[in-house]
Amino acid sequence: MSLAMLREKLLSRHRDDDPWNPRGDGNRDLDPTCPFQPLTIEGFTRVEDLDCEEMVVTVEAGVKVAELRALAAAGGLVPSGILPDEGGTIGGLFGDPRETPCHPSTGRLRDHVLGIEGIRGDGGALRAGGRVVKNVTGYDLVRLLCGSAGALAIVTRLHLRLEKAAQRWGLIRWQLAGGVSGWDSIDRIRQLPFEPWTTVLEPGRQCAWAIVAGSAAGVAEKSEMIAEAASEATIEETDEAGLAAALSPLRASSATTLRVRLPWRQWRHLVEEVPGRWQAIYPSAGFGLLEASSDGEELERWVAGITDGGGSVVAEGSSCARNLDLPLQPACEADRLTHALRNRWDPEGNLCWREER
Amino acid sequence: MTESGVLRRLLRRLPRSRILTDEAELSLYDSDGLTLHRSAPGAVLILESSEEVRFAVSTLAEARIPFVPRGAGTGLSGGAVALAGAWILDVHRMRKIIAIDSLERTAVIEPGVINFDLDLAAARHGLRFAPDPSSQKACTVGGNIAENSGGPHCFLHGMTTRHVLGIKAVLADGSSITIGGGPGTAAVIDWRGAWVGSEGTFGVTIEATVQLIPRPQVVRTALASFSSLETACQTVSAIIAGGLRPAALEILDRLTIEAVEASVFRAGYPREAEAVLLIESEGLPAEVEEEAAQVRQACEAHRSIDFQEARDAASRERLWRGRKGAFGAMGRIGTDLYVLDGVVPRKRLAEVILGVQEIGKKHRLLLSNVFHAGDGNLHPNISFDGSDPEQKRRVLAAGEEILRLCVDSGGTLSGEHGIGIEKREQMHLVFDEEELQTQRLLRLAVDPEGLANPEKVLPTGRGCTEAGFRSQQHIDRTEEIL
Repeated sequence: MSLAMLREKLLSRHRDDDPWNPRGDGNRDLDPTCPFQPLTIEGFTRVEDLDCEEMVVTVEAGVKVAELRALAAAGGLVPSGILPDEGGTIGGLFGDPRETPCHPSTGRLRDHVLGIEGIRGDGGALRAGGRVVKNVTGYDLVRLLCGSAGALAIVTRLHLRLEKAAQRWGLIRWQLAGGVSGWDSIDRIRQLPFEPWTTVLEPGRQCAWAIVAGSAAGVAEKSEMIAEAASEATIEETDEAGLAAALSPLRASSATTLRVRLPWRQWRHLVEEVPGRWQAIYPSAGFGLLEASSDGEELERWVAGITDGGGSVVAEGSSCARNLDLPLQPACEADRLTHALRNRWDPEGNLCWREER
Repeated sequence: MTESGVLRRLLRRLPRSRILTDEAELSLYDSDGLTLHRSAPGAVLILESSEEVRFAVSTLAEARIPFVPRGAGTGLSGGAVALAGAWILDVHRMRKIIAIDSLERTAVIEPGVINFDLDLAAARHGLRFAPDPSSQKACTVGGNIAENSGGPHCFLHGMTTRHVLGIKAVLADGSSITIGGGPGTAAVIDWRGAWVGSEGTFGVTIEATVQLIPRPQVVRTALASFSSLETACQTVSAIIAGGLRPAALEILDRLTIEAVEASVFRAGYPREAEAVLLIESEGLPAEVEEEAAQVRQACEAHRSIDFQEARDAASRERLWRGRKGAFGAMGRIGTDLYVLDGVVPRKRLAEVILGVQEIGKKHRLLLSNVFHAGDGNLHPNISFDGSDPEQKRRVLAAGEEILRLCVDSGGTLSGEHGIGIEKREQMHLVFDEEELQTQRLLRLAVDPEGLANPEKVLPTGRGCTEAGFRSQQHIDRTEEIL
């Protein structure tokens, strides 16, 4: 598909038609019952320029994440900011990136997208950034649009940063002794002079684990320091495939999975309140996945407790949003800027916005 | 509201001493670190609190007087210079570090906090603020946010935008807004990301929550010397291609070495070298050891003529003193300094730097290079005499050619200084008219009246001389009113 064809299709919407709902390959829980017209980017499938020396790749938005990973792996590289267990298309991931459990150490996807091209809701051309790793030329539309779920524009081409695949991965596991003492180990790890790739808690199984990545020497060193902080931990070596296998089940959502964000110091208290319902908590990344209570009053109490503690609760997927009447993204003060921008970039309302979804 | 009405209203809340209208006082604000472009503001308001910022912006908005937020004025693209009769809102006295939370690794600060002061305060908690522009002892974090500043260690840790969690701001209509927040804030459309680097054209930042990171356990700094600038660049390309990620990779050329060694910033750089490469690794002992050994191998493979490692904190400090003081040392070469800022693909560093030198020769200019080689972020520095119009013309012509070379090499106009006035007309080198319109519409969405830092970032189709003239007329009127 060409950009001109996409623009023509975008603008073919009649005033009374439902707005378009841009999407990748639909692998995510972005509401299969969405009433809006799907506008797919699947036709944009070219990997245009893979430069292993510069560690940059240009891809069209419909390229599958798995295909990009395989191409990069041939050069000993991985796409930065994209987890090993991600699926779908690059464009879909850009529009709705899941919060990664490792962002404090690796950055988020938005930190590694060097440039984008596409069209605004009114069909006008859009371009930002480029193929260099440092760029403040013009406004940062990359960050503005990463996570905007196609509400403002359709991104058709992306320039992404690549990095050397980690030489080694270390997995450090330990049991949480229960109650406060379990959390002490997590707090001790927080005091270490480095950021693990991620730290994961599974309160339901009373266990915790940390992952470290890097050179052989670095992984050995970090693993030992974490094991010492956690006490009675086991250290094992793993690889990207092992990592994907370990993370995927923890990141899967059901029709009642909530995403909870909390400041570090609030987790301990909250987990003690509802210990059995946590699928996983990534304390360093600041979020956890919680199975919602079927008891409406209890759910309301949780949500109130979380917001009182300076946190937030959203639905992890749109089936959950429907089931529990919770937003995927909550309203916020900056929404007025988004509305103003939609009026400029998409005055006819060709693209659908989350409040309409 | 008339201008006299504006001033009368401002005097109700601000002392006369913090409303500057005297021509001599205003001349202190007629440029920032980019002295090539000068334009005095209509007035300067020195503001000390968020409430004062809200009050000042609302008052100016009512009278449709444009304004420019300003921190320390150390920016290098003319972003803090007032055009179109704008008034300057000087927030450098808003320098409270409101809170540092070591467990959450965050700090809440006012915009006038000096970058270095924040880092020092964070150090007491075993933490640091990663962005470290060369001006870090003077520049404000509010300015860093406006320009999305970088610095040597951004190669590893990322630019300012990666370290800002939330912003409280006053929009151009005087209304307040909170964008993003601290830990616990839900992910929404990332206006925080758009705000950082918007060069004051969206409004005034009055408070920011920033991310701090752990201080490294071990830091190793080394200086490799080379017999040509080209080889130093090739070494950097090889280090990058080898997948190494040192914390910093900085190159200084011969002219810079000479200036540094003749100045108070003397660092013991070998004067016989054509270029030196400053390399820093950080982390845990074994991984740093491993990386440092690989970096040394890469330098030797590219025939470095000398390789010295800092033995202790003092010698590390000395090696950095030369790099951080390089721009100051240039004062020995010329009365004025034009610090350019372009980015190129890292594998093309060597060929572009040769092209830059050719441009300097062609225009008969004294051109030196200090740059963030790891990011491909060039800073060609042109030393000149600003009182010589003919020399100034050659400087501008060379600057434009250098930026064109960067863009033609697959790079871009700015890596960390921003567009400001300096490069706004060159935005056409990177974006076509329709793409620029997309950016214009974004700006209008946030500031429909165009009152916040007018005539910056986007092309206006004219130079700044005309705007400067209008500014002067505005000053004259203001003087009469007061």
